[in-house]
Amino acid sequence: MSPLVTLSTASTYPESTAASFEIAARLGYDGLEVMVLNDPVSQDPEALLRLRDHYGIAITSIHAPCLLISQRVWGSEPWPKLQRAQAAAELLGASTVVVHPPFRWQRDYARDFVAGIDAMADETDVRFAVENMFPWRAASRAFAAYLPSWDVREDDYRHTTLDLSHTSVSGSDALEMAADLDERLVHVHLADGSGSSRDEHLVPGRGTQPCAELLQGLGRSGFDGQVVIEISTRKAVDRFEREADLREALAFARRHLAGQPDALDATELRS
Amino acid sequence: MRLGVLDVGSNTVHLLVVDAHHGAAPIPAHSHKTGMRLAELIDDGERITRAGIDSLVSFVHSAQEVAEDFGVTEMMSFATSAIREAANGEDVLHEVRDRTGVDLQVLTGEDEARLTFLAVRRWYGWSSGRLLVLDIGGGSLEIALGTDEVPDVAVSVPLGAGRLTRAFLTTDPAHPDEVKAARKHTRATIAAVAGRITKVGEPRHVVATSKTFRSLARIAGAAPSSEGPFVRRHLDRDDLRAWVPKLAAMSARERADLSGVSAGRAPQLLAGAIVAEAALDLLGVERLEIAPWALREGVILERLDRIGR
Repeated sequence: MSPLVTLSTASTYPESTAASFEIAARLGYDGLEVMVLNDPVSQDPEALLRLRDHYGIAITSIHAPCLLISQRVWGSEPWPKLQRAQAAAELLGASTVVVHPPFRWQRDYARDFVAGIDAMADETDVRFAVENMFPWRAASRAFAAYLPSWDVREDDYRHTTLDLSHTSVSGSDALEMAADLDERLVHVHLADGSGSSRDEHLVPGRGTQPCAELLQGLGRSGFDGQVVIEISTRKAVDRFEREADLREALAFARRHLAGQPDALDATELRS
Repeated sequence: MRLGVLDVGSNTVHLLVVDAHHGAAPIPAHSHKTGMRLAELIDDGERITRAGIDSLVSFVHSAQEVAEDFGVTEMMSFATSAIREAANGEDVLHEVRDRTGVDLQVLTGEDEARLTFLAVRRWYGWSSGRLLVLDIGGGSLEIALGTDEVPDVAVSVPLGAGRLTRAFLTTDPAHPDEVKAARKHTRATIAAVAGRITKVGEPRHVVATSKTFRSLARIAGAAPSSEGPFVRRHLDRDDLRAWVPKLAAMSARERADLSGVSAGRAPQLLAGAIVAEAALDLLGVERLEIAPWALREGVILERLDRIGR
């Protein structure tokens, strides 16, 4: 069976979390990753449960609020945020919680992070997939903003997320990172980047990351995790343009996972 | 003749010695400065503190001596927002005059905007067409727009990086509620004047001056100051937008680790970024260029223009 291709609710921003459910269901995504952000609906598992049942689309992963812009979401203490993410995932039937490594100023959290994540994973079936980040580039110098490291290969995590916009910013070879993570790679944030210092989250295929090769490799290897479309459609002028990008990304993922890079996709034919 | 220019700014007090003749470039032969941050030496009643006045007086004294040593025959002395906006600004000016004999001229915000505009116009020349010039000082934000050497509109609002930091960003790292309040205040203040600027017309070239803009451009990837004034440096709004939350999350000490950010300016850089982002958004600017000349050069240029041939 081919891996699930799901939609991050971040991909429809600035539209609401609720809009993501409707769009994902209609465009034929296999599920949703809920990015917990300022939108109160994204923070409320009961509300998410009702949306899930109303639109009939599975919630397959939860992205914990550990971004710069979600520092105060679900409180400001890091561990309780992860506990709430785990509880939400359990309630909603999501298999995975995506977590970023701590920021460098969260010193206590960072010191216990690897062991703490491991201990939490012992008590649940939910997988905590720690995501690769990137050094912040200020002028020509790199600023290590994450601890223990932005590169999740350097620490002993049971499960990891590979984000192809982040590999673009960090200048990492995504295929090599996937190979190094091997079985620990359970979750992919599919996006593209042009190699600039900006975290671009482009539609896959529009940048320089080896998106197609990675997907083909995952397809061949029997990868049973999720491929989450996490692109920025913030600059889309309207719903129509946003949906066109979301369709294109979904078709791209399905085509390459199936090892048919030249195939016309059913979703494209329908549209 | 040798001209001395004493600039009492909100972040630095600066003496420049210039060889002045009609048509000369406003480039200093010597510079002597102190980062005394007058905008931060202000008490709860918006008064410059006793310590602030005393250190200003002592710097003015030492500047006079340096000027004499360099053979300066004429001194121009001016002050900007820190003294202009201080509740006891008049008293400070009197005290400086009584104790040093130096009569500081207080530039209005519009003068600051106008003279900065002149310097930028001379740097780029007429080929730049209609210019929009932005400058974030310690005490105020200056905005000027126009097609000539004198701008068609020149505006100053009290949104300096030091002032905004002192008024809103009291914790370190800044509490998100403080950042939000600073952002809201900044946007409301700029929005109130934006119409006066944008109605003049679309700029052909957008230029920013000031240390704040230089630091922001630098962290976003522009060339360091060591590469000199003739390298083109830009700041893109998207890059700035990506940096604001990062700067907000970092402590002042961490910001000082960024290349292009001095320890003295690191505390204000977040406020500067908030003001810069708001100005770009509300004036519809996608990208700007950093110019090396600003207010001081404008003051000197205007003076040189009045020297007979």
